[in-house]
Amino acid sequence: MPPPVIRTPFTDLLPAGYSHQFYGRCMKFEDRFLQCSEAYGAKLSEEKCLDYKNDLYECNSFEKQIKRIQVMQRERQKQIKAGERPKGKEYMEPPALNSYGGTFFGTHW
Amino acid sequence: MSSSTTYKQDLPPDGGYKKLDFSRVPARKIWNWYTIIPTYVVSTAVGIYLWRLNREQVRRERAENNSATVALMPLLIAEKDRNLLKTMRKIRDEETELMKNTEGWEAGTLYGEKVYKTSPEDEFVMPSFNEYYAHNKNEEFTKRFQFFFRF
Repeated sequence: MPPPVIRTPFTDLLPAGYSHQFYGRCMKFEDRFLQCSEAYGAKLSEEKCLDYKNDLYECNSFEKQIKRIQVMQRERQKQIKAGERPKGKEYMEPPALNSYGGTFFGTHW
Repeated sequence: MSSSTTYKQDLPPDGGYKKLDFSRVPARKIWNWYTIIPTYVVSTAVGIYLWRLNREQVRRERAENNSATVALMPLLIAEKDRNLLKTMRKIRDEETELMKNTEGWEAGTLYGEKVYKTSPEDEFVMPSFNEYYAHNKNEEFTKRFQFFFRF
Protein backbone atom coordinates (compact mmCIF):
# COMPACT_ATOMS: atom_id res chain seq x y z
CA MET A 1 0.00 0.00 0.00
CA PRO A 2 1.40 3.39 -0.96
CA PRO A 3 1.64 5.96 1.80
CA PRO A 4 -1.11 8.59 1.93
CA VAL A 5 -0.61 11.74 -0.09
CA ILE A 6 -1.23 14.06 2.80
CA ARG A 7 0.05 12.62 6.03
CA THR A 8 -1.36 13.98 9.25
CA PRO A 9 -1.64 12.51 12.73
CA PHE A 10 -5.22 11.60 11.86
CA THR A 11 -4.19 9.43 8.92
CA ASP A 12 -1.89 7.54 11.28
CA LEU A 13 -4.66 7.30 13.82
CA LEU A 14 -7.30 5.97 11.44
CA PRO A 15 -5.82 3.29 9.21
CA ALA A 16 -7.91 0.67 7.44
CA GLY A 17 -9.65 -1.28 10.16
CA TYR A 18 -10.72 -4.30 8.18
CA SER A 19 -8.94 -6.82 6.02
CA HIS A 20 -9.36 -10.43 5.02
CA GLN A 21 -6.83 -11.46 7.65
CA PHE A 22 -9.41 -12.11 10.36
CA TYR A 23 -9.92 -15.60 8.95
CA GLY A 24 -11.76 -14.13 6.00
CA ARG A 25 -12.64 -16.06 2.91
CA CYS A 26 -9.96 -14.41 0.79
CA MET A 27 -7.26 -14.46 3.46
CA LYS A 28 -4.71 -16.41 1.44
CA PHE A 29 -5.17 -14.38 -1.72
CA GLU A 30 -4.84 -11.10 0.08
CA ASP A 31 -1.81 -12.34 1.96
CA ARG A 32 -0.06 -13.45 -1.24
CA PHE A 33 -0.83 -10.17 -2.98
CA LEU A 34 0.42 -8.09 -0.07
CA GLN A 35 3.59 -10.15 0.32
CA CYS A 36 4.27 -9.78 -3.39
CA SER A 37 3.66 -6.05 -3.52
CA GLU A 38 5.78 -5.56 -0.43
CA ALA A 39 8.62 -7.44 -2.07
CA TYR A 40 8.49 -5.58 -5.40
CA GLY A 41 7.55 -2.10 -4.27
CA ALA A 42 4.87 0.24 -5.49
CA LYS A 43 5.87 0.57 -9.15
CA LEU A 44 7.17 -2.90 -10.02
CA SER A 45 4.35 -4.66 -8.23
CA GLU A 46 1.83 -3.28 -10.67
CA GLU A 47 3.00 -5.67 -13.36
CA LYS A 48 4.68 -8.36 -11.25
CA CYS A 49 1.75 -8.95 -8.93
CA LEU A 50 -1.02 -8.62 -11.47
CA ASP A 51 -2.05 -12.28 -11.18
CA TYR A 52 -2.25 -12.09 -7.41
CA LYS A 53 -4.25 -8.90 -7.71
CA ASN A 54 -6.63 -10.46 -10.21
CA ASP A 55 -7.06 -13.49 -7.96
CA LEU A 56 -7.91 -11.29 -5.02
CA TYR A 57 -10.34 -9.36 -7.22
CA GLU A 58 -11.91 -12.62 -8.37
CA CYS A 59 -12.24 -13.84 -4.79
CA ASN A 60 -13.99 -10.61 -3.86
CA SER A 61 -16.22 -10.24 -6.89
CA PHE A 62 -16.94 -13.88 -8.02
CA GLU A 63 -16.81 -12.50 -11.55
CA LYS A 64 -15.50 -15.59 -13.37
CA GLN A 65 -17.45 -17.97 -11.18
CA ILE A 66 -20.72 -16.22 -11.93
CA LYS A 67 -19.91 -16.19 -15.62
CA ARG A 68 -19.14 -19.90 -15.45
CA ILE A 69 -22.47 -20.63 -13.81
CA GLN A 70 -24.31 -18.56 -16.40
CA VAL A 71 -22.64 -20.37 -19.28
CA MET A 72 -23.29 -23.79 -17.77
CA GLN A 73 -26.92 -23.10 -16.99
CA ARG A 74 -27.55 -21.68 -20.43
CA GLU A 75 -26.00 -24.80 -21.93
CA ARG A 76 -28.22 -26.97 -19.74
CA GLN A 77 -31.38 -25.12 -20.75
CA LYS A 78 -30.35 -25.43 -24.39
CA GLN A 79 -29.86 -29.16 -24.02
CA ILE A 80 -33.18 -29.56 -22.22
CA LYS A 81 -34.98 -27.69 -24.98
CA ALA A 82 -33.28 -29.83 -27.63
CA GLY A 83 -34.30 -32.93 -25.70
CA GLU A 84 -30.76 -34.19 -25.33
CA ARG A 85 -30.97 -34.82 -21.62
CA PRO A 86 -32.75 -37.97 -20.39
CA LYS A 87 -36.13 -37.39 -18.82
CA GLY A 88 -36.20 -37.05 -15.04
CA LYS A 89 -32.45 -36.45 -15.09
CA GLU A 90 -32.39 -32.91 -16.41
CA TYR A 91 -30.77 -31.68 -13.20
CA MET A 92 -28.28 -33.12 -10.76
CA GLU A 93 -29.45 -34.57 -7.48
CA PRO A 94 -29.22 -31.89 -4.78
CA PRO A 95 -26.33 -32.40 -2.37
CA ALA A 96 -26.94 -33.16 1.30
CA LEU A 97 -28.15 -30.23 3.31
CA ASN A 98 -25.25 -29.89 5.71
CA SER A 99 -22.48 -30.84 3.33
CA TYR A 100 -21.48 -27.33 2.28
CA GLY A 101 -19.13 -25.31 4.42
CA GLY A 102 -15.76 -25.33 6.08
CA THR A 103 -14.71 -27.59 8.89
CA PHE A 104 -16.14 -25.35 11.56
CA PHE A 105 -19.69 -24.09 11.65
CA GLY A 106 -20.22 -20.73 10.05
CA THR A 107 -17.04 -20.92 7.98
CA HIS A 108 -17.49 -21.30 4.27
CA TRP A 109 -14.09 -21.10 2.71
CA MET B 1 -106.25 27.76 52.02
CA SER B 2 -104.91 27.29 55.46
CA SER B 3 -104.11 24.26 57.47
CA SER B 4 -103.96 23.69 61.12
CA THR B 5 -101.29 20.99 60.89
CA THR B 6 -98.60 21.44 63.46
CA TYR B 7 -94.97 20.74 62.45
CA LYS B 8 -92.36 19.25 64.65
CA GLN B 9 -88.77 20.31 64.09
CA ASP B 10 -86.38 17.37 63.67
CA LEU B 11 -83.85 17.77 66.41
CA PRO B 12 -80.99 15.73 67.87
CA PRO B 13 -81.94 13.33 70.61
CA ASP B 14 -81.74 14.38 74.17
CA GLY B 15 -78.23 14.42 75.40
CA GLY B 16 -76.84 14.80 71.89
CA TYR B 17 -75.64 12.23 69.31
CA LYS B 18 -73.52 9.25 70.15
CA LYS B 19 -69.78 9.98 69.91
CA LEU B 20 -68.01 8.65 66.78
CA ASP B 21 -65.68 5.73 67.45
CA PHE B 22 -62.22 6.56 66.13
CA SER B 23 -60.39 4.00 68.15
CA ARG B 24 -58.03 1.57 66.29
CA VAL B 25 -59.13 -2.00 65.70
CA PRO B 26 -55.85 -4.01 65.63
CA ALA B 27 -55.58 -7.25 63.65
CA ARG B 28 -55.26 -10.47 65.50
CA LYS B 29 -51.60 -11.15 66.11
CA ILE B 30 -50.33 -14.52 64.86
CA TRP B 31 -46.75 -13.78 63.79
CA ASN B 32 -44.41 -12.12 66.17
CA TRP B 33 -40.85 -11.16 65.40
CA TYR B 34 -39.61 -14.16 67.31
CA THR B 35 -41.52 -16.51 65.03
CA ILE B 36 -41.05 -14.60 61.76
CA ILE B 37 -37.27 -14.36 61.82
CA PRO B 38 -36.49 -18.02 62.62
CA THR B 39 -39.01 -19.18 60.03
CA TYR B 40 -37.42 -16.95 57.44
CA VAL B 41 -33.93 -18.13 58.30
CA VAL B 42 -34.85 -21.83 58.27
CA SER B 43 -36.87 -21.70 55.03
CA THR B 44 -34.11 -19.75 53.28
CA ALA B 45 -31.51 -22.26 54.45
CA VAL B 46 -33.58 -25.18 53.22
CA GLY B 47 -34.22 -23.41 49.92
CA ILE B 48 -30.53 -22.70 49.38
CA TYR B 49 -29.67 -26.32 50.17
CA LEU B 50 -32.22 -27.63 47.68
CA TRP B 51 -31.15 -25.11 45.08
CA ARG B 52 -27.54 -26.22 45.44
CA LEU B 53 -28.53 -29.85 45.00
CA ASN B 54 -30.40 -28.91 41.84
CA ARG B 55 -27.49 -26.84 40.61
CA GLU B 56 -25.17 -29.79 41.03
CA GLN B 57 -27.47 -31.94 38.97
CA VAL B 58 -27.80 -29.31 36.26
CA ARG B 59 -24.03 -28.94 36.06
CA ARG B 60 -23.53 -32.67 35.90
CA GLU B 61 -26.01 -33.00 33.06
CA ARG B 62 -24.49 -30.10 31.21
CA ALA B 63 -21.03 -31.63 31.52
CA GLU B 64 -22.38 -34.89 30.19
CA ASN B 65 -23.97 -33.15 27.23
CA ASN B 66 -20.79 -31.24 26.52
CA SER B 67 -18.62 -34.32 26.63
CA ALA B 68 -21.04 -36.13 24.35
CA THR B 69 -20.85 -33.22 21.89
CA VAL B 70 -17.06 -33.18 22.10
CA ALA B 71 -16.94 -36.92 21.48
CA LEU B 72 -19.33 -36.75 18.51
CA MET B 73 -18.02 -33.61 16.80
CA PRO B 74 -15.00 -35.19 15.01
CA LEU B 75 -17.20 -37.89 13.57
CA LEU B 76 -19.86 -35.44 12.40
CA ILE B 77 -17.32 -33.03 10.92
CA ALA B 78 -15.48 -35.84 9.17
CA GLU B 79 -18.74 -37.08 7.70
CA LYS B 80 -19.59 -33.57 6.57
CA ASP B 81 -16.20 -33.09 4.93
CA ARG B 82 -16.42 -36.46 3.24
CA ASN B 83 -19.84 -35.55 1.94
CA LEU B 84 -18.48 -32.25 0.64
CA LEU B 85 -15.64 -33.93 -1.26
CA LYS B 86 -17.96 -36.54 -2.71
CA THR B 87 -20.37 -33.86 -3.85
CA MET B 88 -17.57 -31.85 -5.43
CA ARG B 89 -16.48 -34.89 -7.39
CA LYS B 90 -20.05 -35.42 -8.50
CA ILE B 91 -20.29 -31.80 -9.61
CA ARG B 92 -17.04 -32.12 -11.57
CA ASP B 93 -18.29 -35.22 -13.36
CA GLU B 94 -21.60 -33.53 -14.09
CA GLU B 95 -19.80 -30.54 -15.51
CA THR B 96 -17.54 -32.56 -17.79
CA GLU B 97 -20.59 -34.48 -18.98
CA LEU B 98 -22.58 -31.32 -19.55
CA MET B 99 -19.92 -29.27 -21.33
CA LYS B 100 -18.44 -31.99 -23.51
CA ASN B 101 -19.73 -30.27 -26.65
CA THR B 102 -18.33 -26.87 -25.71
CA GLU B 103 -14.91 -26.26 -27.21
CA GLY B 104 -12.00 -25.54 -24.88
CA TRP B 105 -13.98 -26.13 -21.77
CA GLU B 106 -12.40 -27.97 -18.89
CA ALA B 107 -14.14 -28.68 -15.59
CA GLY B 108 -13.49 -25.91 -13.09
CA THR B 109 -12.48 -23.36 -15.72
CA LEU B 110 -14.06 -20.66 -17.82
CA TYR B 111 -13.28 -21.74 -21.40
CA GLY B 112 -9.96 -23.15 -20.22
CA GLU B 113 -9.16 -20.09 -18.12
CA LYS B 114 -8.50 -20.94 -14.49
CA VAL B 115 -10.61 -19.21 -11.89
CA TYR B 116 -7.62 -18.66 -9.61
CA LYS B 117 -4.33 -18.43 -11.48
CA THR B 118 -1.92 -18.33 -8.59
CA SER B 119 -3.36 -20.84 -6.16
CA PRO B 120 -1.17 -23.99 -6.00
CA GLU B 121 -2.31 -27.27 -7.51
CA ASP B 122 -2.73 -29.06 -4.18
CA GLU B 123 -4.58 -26.24 -2.46
CA PHE B 124 -8.20 -26.81 -1.59
CA VAL B 125 -10.41 -24.07 -2.98
CA MET B 126 -13.90 -24.00 -1.63
CA PRO B 127 -16.48 -23.63 -4.39
CA SER B 128 -18.78 -20.70 -3.97
CA PHE B 129 -22.29 -21.47 -2.85
CA ASN B 130 -23.77 -20.68 -6.25
CA GLU B 131 -21.29 -22.98 -7.94
CA TYR B 132 -22.13 -25.71 -5.47
CA TYR B 133 -25.76 -25.61 -6.63
CA ALA B 134 -25.07 -24.66 -10.24
CA HIS B 135 -26.43 -27.94 -11.60
CA ASN B 136 -29.59 -27.98 -9.53
CA LYS B 137 -32.88 -26.23 -9.96
CA ASN B 138 -33.04 -22.69 -8.73
CA GLU B 139 -35.58 -23.69 -6.08
CA GLU B 140 -33.05 -25.99 -4.45
CA PHE B 141 -30.54 -23.17 -4.37
CA THR B 142 -32.95 -20.76 -2.69
CA LYS B 143 -33.99 -23.39 -0.17
CA ARG B 144 -30.40 -24.12 0.77
CA PHE B 145 -29.41 -20.48 0.71
CA GLN B 146 -32.07 -19.70 3.27
CA PHE B 147 -30.77 -22.58 5.38
CA PHE B 148 -27.15 -21.46 5.33
CA PHE B 149 -27.32 -17.70 5.36
CA ARG B 150 -30.10 -16.89 7.76
CA PHE B 151 -29.32 -14.27 10.31
